[in-house]
Amino acid sequence: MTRMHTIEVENVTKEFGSLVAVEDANFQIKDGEFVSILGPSGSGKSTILRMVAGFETPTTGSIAIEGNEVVGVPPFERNSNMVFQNLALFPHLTVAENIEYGLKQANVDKETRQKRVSEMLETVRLEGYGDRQPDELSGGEQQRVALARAIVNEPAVVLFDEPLASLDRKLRQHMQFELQRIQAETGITFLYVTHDQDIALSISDRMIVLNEGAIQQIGTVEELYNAPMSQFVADFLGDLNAIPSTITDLSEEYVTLDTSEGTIDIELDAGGRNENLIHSDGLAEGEPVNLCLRPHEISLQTEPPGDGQPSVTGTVKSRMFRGNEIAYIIETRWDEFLVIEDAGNEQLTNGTPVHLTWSRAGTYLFTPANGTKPNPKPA
Amino acid sequence: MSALGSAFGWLERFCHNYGPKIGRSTIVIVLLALWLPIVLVVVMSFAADGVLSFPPDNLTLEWYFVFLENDAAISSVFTTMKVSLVATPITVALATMLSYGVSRYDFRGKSAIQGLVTLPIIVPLIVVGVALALFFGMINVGGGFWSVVAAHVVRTIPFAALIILPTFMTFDRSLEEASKDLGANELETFWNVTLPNIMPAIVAGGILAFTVSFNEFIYTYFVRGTGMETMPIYLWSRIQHNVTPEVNVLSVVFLVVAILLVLVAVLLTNISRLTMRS
Repeated sequence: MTRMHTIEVENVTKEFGSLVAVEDANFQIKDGEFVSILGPSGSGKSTILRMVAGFETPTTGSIAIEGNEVVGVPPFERNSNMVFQNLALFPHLTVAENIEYGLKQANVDKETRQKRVSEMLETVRLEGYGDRQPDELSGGEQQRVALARAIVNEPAVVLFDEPLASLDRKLRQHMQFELQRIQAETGITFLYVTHDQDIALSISDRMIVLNEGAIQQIGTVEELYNAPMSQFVADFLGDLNAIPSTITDLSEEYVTLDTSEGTIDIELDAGGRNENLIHSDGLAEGEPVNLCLRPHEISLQTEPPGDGQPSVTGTVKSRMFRGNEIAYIIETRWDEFLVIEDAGNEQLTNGTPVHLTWSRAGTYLFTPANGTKPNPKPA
Repeated sequence: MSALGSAFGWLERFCHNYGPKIGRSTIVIVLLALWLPIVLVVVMSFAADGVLSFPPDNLTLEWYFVFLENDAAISSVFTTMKVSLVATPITVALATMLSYGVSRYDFRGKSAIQGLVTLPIIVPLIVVGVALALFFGMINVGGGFWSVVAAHVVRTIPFAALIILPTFMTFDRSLEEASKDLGANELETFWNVTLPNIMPAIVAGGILAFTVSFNEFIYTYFVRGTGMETMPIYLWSRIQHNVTPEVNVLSVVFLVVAILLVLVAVLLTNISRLTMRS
């Protein structure tokens, strides 16, 4: 028997009146994967999740769970369970009764139900909490109950609609580890929706980045972080500083950019990051391009760099101490740049004129986005 | 301006100094106004004299024995109970279905429903009473048990809806989604999740509907025809002849039956547990 994908989403579009919430979404999720759908609010990520769960119907396209088409199948006949944003624990039932609910609907006999419930309480580390009411539990404990309720029936996939958003940072981090542990223990496929790139980067195997209803890029967290295909993805997965420029010369090995602070040569075969430049294939001389730099890749110095190393100038605007590193806001002619340096380096005072340099490998070239919507490139 | 300012200053000092005292006195006055007449009625039901004068010279149970031998009075108690116990479930069912529909589905004029359902409370009772009598006459349904029940349903629906509708509107629909997500179909979801969570409102609406129906006089008076004598109607006919302590006995019985039935409803539905949880 061939192994099906747990979830296959094919050409799914969802319109609410004239609003296109999701536009031609295509992706597959393998059995046992932990995948995040990441996007700003209003990007359509919850709509995708609710279509998989069966609470919304796609306008066009098809969704399959374990190889079975589910469009038109009501939520109670789908092999998926959801952890809701507000958790939606049944207030009139105890913790154990909440977890038992799905088993009862599946007509599991009472003995097995009790056994499964106590196993679940153990899995989510809530032994002895079975007789409590949900509102007697802390936020983190309620999250665990919601999770236990969603995995007790061993569905093909558990869907998460940003349930950790309401927790404080420390508890959220703790729950992220718990989610990973439980996913590894149970082997159930997890599909997690969030607007928080830190959560998505830290918990998932693969990410689907969404903007304004359209999928921007799909890949492992490393791929998306290191080789983003658009400025939107790069910016969303970590801060990005952009220097607007125009291509003045293009050859096999070099591209020459004209910025309002002189010309900068970028080597095109500089190793790993070349990937990014290749993605700007098709660009011709005279076209605009953004030279983008991650905050960690920039170094600050008070003296101008020698031997033709590219640099731009700016002024220190403010400085934030962050323990082992220092974040600087640098006023440049384009925008305020965020630069992060090791705390061991010489500290610069506000108002100091500085030169910003970067390693060759630390640059990204992107076509400037029109508004907030970059041009997605097919994978 | 300064006069106004000093007036406010005075008011503020006054409230600060005498606030707790005013609050306590208000509570006493309101409670007296509510309960003194009831206490008087109960005391006077034991009065030995044939006339109503307070305080009674001697206390007696005589009038209770008179009541127990009065078949018309006792049958009026049972008539009232029958009418209210039939009308209340109908009212609760209709108000619940209406609230479910309004909270679930979109249709034109939906926002006006809440007003339209509860507004009849302010229409003069006699006007509606006459209208009901004319209507039953027009469709050739004379007075009788079911006419009175129908009138009571008309009378009590606004009260039940007043309580049940807002609860449905504020009910967290994600609980129903969670139920369906876990394998329960629409009907199972309503039964297992929706109903238990709105039960406090349904019980409260039902108790209010019941007490309104139990006390209902005006609609009943117009549509009862002949023979149907609920307790308020019987009381009314009695005091038109002469006022004896038996009227007080009737009032006490009325009060006790009403309180008992409400208590039974509360116990049966475990409302305190439900309200505590929600």
